[in-house]
Amino acid sequence: MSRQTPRPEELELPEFLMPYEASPPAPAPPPATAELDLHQSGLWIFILGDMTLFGAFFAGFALQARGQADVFARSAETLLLGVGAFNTLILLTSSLFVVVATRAVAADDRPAAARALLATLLCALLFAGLKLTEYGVELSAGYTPNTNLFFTYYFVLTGIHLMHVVVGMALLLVAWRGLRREAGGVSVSFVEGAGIYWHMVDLLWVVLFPLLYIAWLP
Amino acid sequence: MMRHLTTRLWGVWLMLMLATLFSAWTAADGLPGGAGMPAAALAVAVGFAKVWLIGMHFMALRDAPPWLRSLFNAWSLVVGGGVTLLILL
Repeated sequence: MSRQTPRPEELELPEFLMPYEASPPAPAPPPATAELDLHQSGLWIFILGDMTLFGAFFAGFALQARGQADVFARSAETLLLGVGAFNTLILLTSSLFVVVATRAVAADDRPAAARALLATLLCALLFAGLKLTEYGVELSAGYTPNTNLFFTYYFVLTGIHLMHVVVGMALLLVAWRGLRREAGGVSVSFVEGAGIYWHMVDLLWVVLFPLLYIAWLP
Repeated sequence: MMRHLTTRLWGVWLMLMLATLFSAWTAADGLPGGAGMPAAALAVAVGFAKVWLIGMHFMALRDAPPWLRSLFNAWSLVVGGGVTLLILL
């Protein structure tokens, strides 16, 4: 029986006899700015589109105010400035919690991200509760969307914004529930997307507050 | 939980909160320089400055691709500047 000679590639050679292989090229340095994937780009296009729609509303409101400064001043005086300011502080703080959540989830600290999203949701609930209370006070005082142009804009703009708050809360709730599951119930990009949407909700209110509550005060 | 925040982010949040409190306080006490279009325009311009801070720091647009950062800057400038001018003129 002849002994079979092993083929060269089957030989186990000591390391110093292994054929030379060029070391793999060093990884390319990360780009200065992160590139967006298709989903993130789509989300941003939607966000900017929504912001542009609100921008048109802001411009229309400012344009209409020029001819009715007295009406706008008397109407703005009836709004609850303190509640509007407090709601602004709540949304700004909620945005900070969203920043915590997105940074925590990116660092794979899901418990911290879940806690931050819960804090955001509580802020959102408080905002919505105060806004509805404010509507109740205004409506019971006889101010409705038909009272004058200021109140038409006030109820339409804050109403559309409140709808955005509700949508944002739904997204944050899905993200929060996903983060609480043991095995990856929600992706990092979903949490980031919900976070960007919530920042937009905050950002729009930050313009609505001075435009409606402050700018026309006598 | 809050250890994920940097000093910069805390600083931006504090600035936004103080700007809001200052706006509300001056509005309650009468707008600076009295009522009128300049005071109204200033209040709205401060609002848009806050928007820009939220975008750059909270939405992390300072690290975003240039096309996105440019679009956001353009929105802030065109809408913020446009609304402020509409109030002033």
